[in-house]
Amino acid sequence: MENKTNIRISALATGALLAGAIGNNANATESFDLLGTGGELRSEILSNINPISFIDNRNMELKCGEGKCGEKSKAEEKGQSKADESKAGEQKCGKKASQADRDAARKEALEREEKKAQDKKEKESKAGEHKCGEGKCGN
Amino acid sequence: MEQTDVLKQNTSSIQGALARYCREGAAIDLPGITPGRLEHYRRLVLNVVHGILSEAYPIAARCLGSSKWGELVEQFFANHKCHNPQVWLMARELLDFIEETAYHEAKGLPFLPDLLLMEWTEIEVHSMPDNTTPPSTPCPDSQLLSTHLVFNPHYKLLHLSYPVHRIHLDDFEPKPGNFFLLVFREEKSGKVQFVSLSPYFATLLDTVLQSEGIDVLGAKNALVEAGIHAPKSIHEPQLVYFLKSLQDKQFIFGKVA
Repeated sequence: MENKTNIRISALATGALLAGAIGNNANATESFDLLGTGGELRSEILSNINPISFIDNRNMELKCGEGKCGEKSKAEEKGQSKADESKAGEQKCGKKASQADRDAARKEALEREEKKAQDKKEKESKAGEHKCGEGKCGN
Repeated sequence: MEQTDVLKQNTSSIQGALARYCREGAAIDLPGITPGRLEHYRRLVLNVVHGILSEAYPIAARCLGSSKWGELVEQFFANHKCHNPQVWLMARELLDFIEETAYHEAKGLPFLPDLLLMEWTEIEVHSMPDNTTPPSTPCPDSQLLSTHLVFNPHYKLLHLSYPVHRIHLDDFEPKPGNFFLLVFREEKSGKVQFVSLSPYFATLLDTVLQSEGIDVLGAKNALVEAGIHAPKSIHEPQLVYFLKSLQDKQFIFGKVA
């Protein structure tokens, strides 16, 4: 049986610009990069995205499951910034913590763990594989 | 049948005015409305549109910030006549709207169409109808260059002007160039994989995929003869490693059984 051969040069390569780019450009041959699944790439971009000049950072902060829309975040309610939050049980040097302080610190640590788990779950569901068109939307 | 054939003229015009208000937000006066309630219709409809587009384009939404993203969504909804009744396809129409109106140029966001295209392609590839391929067996490394390979049919090869897959990196610059992304759907899991390709690999792969009855070595030689690739632009071990990686990732299923 005769094998049929029909060579079609890539349309990507036919543009003069691109042909120039491939010709003697070392970078043109350099490599390939396995970027991962859509969910992985999206997670990486969303968690590392850098502010570009047009980005308003005040608009980028997401609440990640903290209360209803329009509700103040816990940190805002306490009147402290995120950077101000101290670790559980942290005290000033030399100050002895009372039982009440220790209980409060323990409770705060538990709450933080819960919140972290919730945030992680939220992040996974948002940054996962589910995009419009893959689920019920548009049925 | 025209809508006016089954509706009273008055009903039709009221419905039209209400729909226009929901899209554009310009104040209207309709008979029988309760003051202060009409705006909730627009709010609810816009919420649905906003939700669909933000879910389809989470990276673009984050990049633009809620204010600029909201402005884009509102402009799109007010000025673009969506053609498809399936709401998830509205996301594709946002890309059409941006290209038709050159919104990205007016707003100084030259890479926006590429960013939306990258995000949309994931949905498109994921939703592609199933295609069958000839039976195949794994191809040994030594035969990858000279065997007719069976490729995953669920893919798109994107030619981008901006490296939007690197938008989160410090060295990202919105300068135009030639960037290629291979986007394909894993056969078993249905997950969509992204692979960034150099122009060399992109043109070679595309030539193999577009041609019939050709192996990778044949495509490589054809590109050299056409003057597109330099004769010794790549070493064969590099090429084999590239093909092996694609076989590991299930873009290459193997050789014909």
